[in-house]
Amino acid sequence: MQWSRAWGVLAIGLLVAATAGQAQVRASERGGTFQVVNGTRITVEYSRPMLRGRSPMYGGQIPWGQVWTPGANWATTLDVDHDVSIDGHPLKKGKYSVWMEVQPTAWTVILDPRAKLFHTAHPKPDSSQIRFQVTPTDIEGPEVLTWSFTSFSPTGTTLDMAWAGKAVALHITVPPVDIPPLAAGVGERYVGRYKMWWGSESNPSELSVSAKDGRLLGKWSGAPFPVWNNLTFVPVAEDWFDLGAMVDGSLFDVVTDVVFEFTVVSGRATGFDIRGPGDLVVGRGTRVQ
Amino acid sequence: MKHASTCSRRHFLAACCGAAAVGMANPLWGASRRRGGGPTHPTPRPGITAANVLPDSDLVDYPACQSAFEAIREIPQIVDGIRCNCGCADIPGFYSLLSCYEGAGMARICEICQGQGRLAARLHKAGKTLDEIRAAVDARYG
Repeated sequence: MQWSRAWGVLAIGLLVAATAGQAQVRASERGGTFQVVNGTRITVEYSRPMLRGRSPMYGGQIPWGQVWTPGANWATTLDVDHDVSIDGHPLKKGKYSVWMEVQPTAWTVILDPRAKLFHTAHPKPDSSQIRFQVTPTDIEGPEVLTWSFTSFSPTGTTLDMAWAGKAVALHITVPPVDIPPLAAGVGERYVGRYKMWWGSESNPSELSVSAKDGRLLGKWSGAPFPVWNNLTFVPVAEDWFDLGAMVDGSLFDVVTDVVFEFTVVSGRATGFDIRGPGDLVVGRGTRVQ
Repeated sequence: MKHASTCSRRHFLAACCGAAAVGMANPLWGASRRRGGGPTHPTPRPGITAANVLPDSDLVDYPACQSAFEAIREIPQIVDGIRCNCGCADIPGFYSLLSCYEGAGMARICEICQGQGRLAARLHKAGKTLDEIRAAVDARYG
């Protein structure tokens, strides 16, 4: 009987499945990484092959033109819990198997909605797939195939695959921050200047509140770090707000452990309490103008 | 334990760091910490009292939480209609936010349990209904 290498691998896979649940060492141990960006969770799960002296990997162990999963055993998966875009290509929320067609220059990344595929089950081109080209860069190592999130911002993250002297960077953009606008005219009740104390501080800082396009904005003179100089108030409930930091006009961070509770008298805010997670007052503000 | 009297702008930044951790699990980051549509609140048990709420003698080592326990003892029938949002609601035997103040006394160490209790008491004192209090608790802690 003639057994191909693929059948051999399949048999090993079935044997592995039959013994699932038993502790066992794997040549390519399971691994994974995740990153949350602006509420979108991005997860990569994969088996991690090691070089073990094999060289060259690309154009050698992985022949040019071969569709390969950047991992081992079961195909590497990418799971996103919101719709995102990846290198500019829309990607619906869901779990995908990840493949790359390696070539001497540009590689093709393939995301297939059939997430559970064995690494030998190279998917054929199909309209359900997301396919796009990337240009790998030359790097040192690493010995172990590694997926990692190397940077992130409020709008996205960079997901890197690195192994055997090559790295591929995938740029993922997440849905924008969605701050519910205030009803027309509501913001005006808070507009003004306030003296603000944190705890027992004797010297207050100053908070100027303005309203624009349904958003409540603030300028905090005396913020402990410049990133908190420009604020946006994120509505929680009537007269209650979380505090968001703005950098270059974009929302950078939202503090959800404290809430600003404005006191409104005759349609005009007279001040506010700042309450911590235990609902204790940790700061306060008084209108001065 | 930091009290209001010792809080400063620096502590605000510490809160920011805590918020980052909260944000990791928050699918609506930016819009709000509030998810809405979560598990429903329990129905207050008829005749429920504060008889099982931990006494002050069990709170000697936790002075910062005593005000929350005092508040809860005043409104057991309200707190028994609120689901705790800190995650302890999945503990066997747990029924409502009131449970956090009984038995093992999760509220002795959990600021979320304490905060929801204090908020409920504050809003009840302001004349809010149970439904309004539930909505406020969900808005802030849900």
